[in-house]
Amino acid sequence: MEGLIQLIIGAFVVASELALLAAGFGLIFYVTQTFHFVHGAVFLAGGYGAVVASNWLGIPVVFSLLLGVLTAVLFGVCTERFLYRPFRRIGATHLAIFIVSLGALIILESVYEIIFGAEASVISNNFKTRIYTRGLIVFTNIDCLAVGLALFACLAVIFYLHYSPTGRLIRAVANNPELAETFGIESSRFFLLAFAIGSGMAGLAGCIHIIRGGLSPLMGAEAVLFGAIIAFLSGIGKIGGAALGAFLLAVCMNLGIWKLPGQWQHTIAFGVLFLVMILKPEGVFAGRKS
Amino acid sequence: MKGKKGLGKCLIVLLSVLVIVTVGLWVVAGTAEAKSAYKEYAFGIALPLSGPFGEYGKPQSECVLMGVEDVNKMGGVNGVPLKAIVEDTKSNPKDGVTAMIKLVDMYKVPFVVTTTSSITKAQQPIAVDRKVVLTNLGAWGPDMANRPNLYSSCVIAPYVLKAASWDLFNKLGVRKAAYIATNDPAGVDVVEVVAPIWEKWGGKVVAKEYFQGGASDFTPQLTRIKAANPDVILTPIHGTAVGFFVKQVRDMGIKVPVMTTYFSAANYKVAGESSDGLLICCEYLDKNNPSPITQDWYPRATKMFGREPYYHEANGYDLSRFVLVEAIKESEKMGGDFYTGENLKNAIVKIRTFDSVFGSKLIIGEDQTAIKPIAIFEMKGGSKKLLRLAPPPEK
Repeated sequence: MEGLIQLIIGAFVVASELALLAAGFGLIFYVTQTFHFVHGAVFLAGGYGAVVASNWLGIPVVFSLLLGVLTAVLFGVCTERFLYRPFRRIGATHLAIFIVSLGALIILESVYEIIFGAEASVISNNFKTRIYTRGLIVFTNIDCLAVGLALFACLAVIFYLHYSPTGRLIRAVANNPELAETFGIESSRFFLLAFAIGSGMAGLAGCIHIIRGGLSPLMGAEAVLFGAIIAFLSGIGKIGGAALGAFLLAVCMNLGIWKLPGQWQHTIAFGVLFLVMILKPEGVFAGRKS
Repeated sequence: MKGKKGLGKCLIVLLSVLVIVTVGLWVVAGTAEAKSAYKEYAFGIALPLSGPFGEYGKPQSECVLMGVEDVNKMGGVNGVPLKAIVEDTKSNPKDGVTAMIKLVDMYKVPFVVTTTSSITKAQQPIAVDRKVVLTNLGAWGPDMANRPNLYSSCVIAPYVLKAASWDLFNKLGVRKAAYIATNDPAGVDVVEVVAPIWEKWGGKVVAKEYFQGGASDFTPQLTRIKAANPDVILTPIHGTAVGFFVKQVRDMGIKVPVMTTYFSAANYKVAGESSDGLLICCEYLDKNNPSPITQDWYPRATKMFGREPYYHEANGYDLSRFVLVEAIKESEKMGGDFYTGENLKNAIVKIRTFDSVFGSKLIIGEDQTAIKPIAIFEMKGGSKKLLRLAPPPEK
């Protein structure tokens, strides 16, 4: 029984990163209809931004993480402004932009590898790990921080999107960009805003990953893959749904291997995705279209 | 009449001179052609310079190239320099095959250095088909043994993990073992070979866990291992994953001894204090060995990397500096167009024992893999301390 509880605790920790990745990916896709593979590179930018601030510039860890998130925001905004927008302007299809994004991710992973090396990078002045034990159940202060940060970020974004005037405008652009334009809402501005918020979330996920262990250049592809899976199975644009979806997927993956061999984890994730796509293609938490 | 005779003599002399000059030119040209065919001995390096194994593929490649540089500084092999052509296998079999095909078909090299079990397995049929020698410095899956045209300068995993298990069973006296490995031949097959041996000795294997290559989160597998309550955890994992694994073991509150077969400085950066007490079982590269080869190489390699070299890097140096050189020399004795894969293969089989930076000789056994001393180390304060030598691997 304690093993089962431990797996659920583990699922919470894993879900903290996945929720941020999925919510960020989902928000960008919801607003801009861009399948943003570079989200994986933005995730890495968050972690590596913190590494540069901490290890190279000697900035304290808390501020390094903040700089990591800001790096990711800048990275995401630049991707929209200088990569996707020029392609949209020349009338590139979603498929063309999808391929451009995939290519950019592959290039960027190599660039990270050249700069930071293939091995895992860590923050040299990371928080000291404290281990809390309750019987056979174990968790660390870093685990608690990861879950807390993810929860706070998701709630903050939900609140912003639903209760702030700008948030409402972002949703309006997402629902119907042409109609929004007729009301004088410049959709490209809100595209940039969606990229900024989504990238900030991915950057925070990168920061959480680096304080939990370390980051290596090839982790970007898996990050965006899981982010996309959860975003689609939760329902695109549902931040709360993404957080819940991340937790449910992490629980399925962890509990699945309680009885199945450990190497089946990825198979379970894709199995869940297939099942949801067949039974509820619009996503588990997607409501009716208004 | 006399005039005609004189003309005839002149013609004979002229023709003779012409024949001599022609034959002479043909001989000279032939010799020149033979020499130009071997103005250098080109061979291939197909190592993972990027991807998850790039962490150790790059320094391995540098060590193979260091061997080439040393050979060429000494005037090459009987006056002919070595030339290495480097290709990146990108840590995956698909690109490994592309690299191999490029080396053997485009550059026509008869000798290739590689590593990583899945990549080596994919390249080996090409080596057989194109009749070239494939040498392996670090791929250690059990199926690296007895493969045509494949020769390893590393000890393969079943011997290392068996030595590790033997040490834990007899020196630490532990009985309940948990094995965890990647879900690939270098992981699953090794565990499936060693776990029954542990049980044959009277021990119990309480957990066998596998995970996808490239994973960095082992908490689900470790939860299951923890629930199985082992006395010791043994893992043959390599690369970046080891640091994450060691850290997560201790973060999960698991206090039993852990033995790995690899632990690098990069792993220490990730694992930090969690690595204190970690046991490592691997090939024994003894820096204090009085052998002039070791004493010459070890400080230079340490200076080149800014850290102490690892055994698999030393394996790479051994391949270019000793195995290839001796194989060429032996092959040359056969005469003719001697720099071919078939000749090099026959030469390696004939020689079998080569000099090595390990101090002891590198012996390529009957199963075409290396026989070398294996040692047990313990991590303390970020450095590896030698505990003892493990019993020599049984072939």
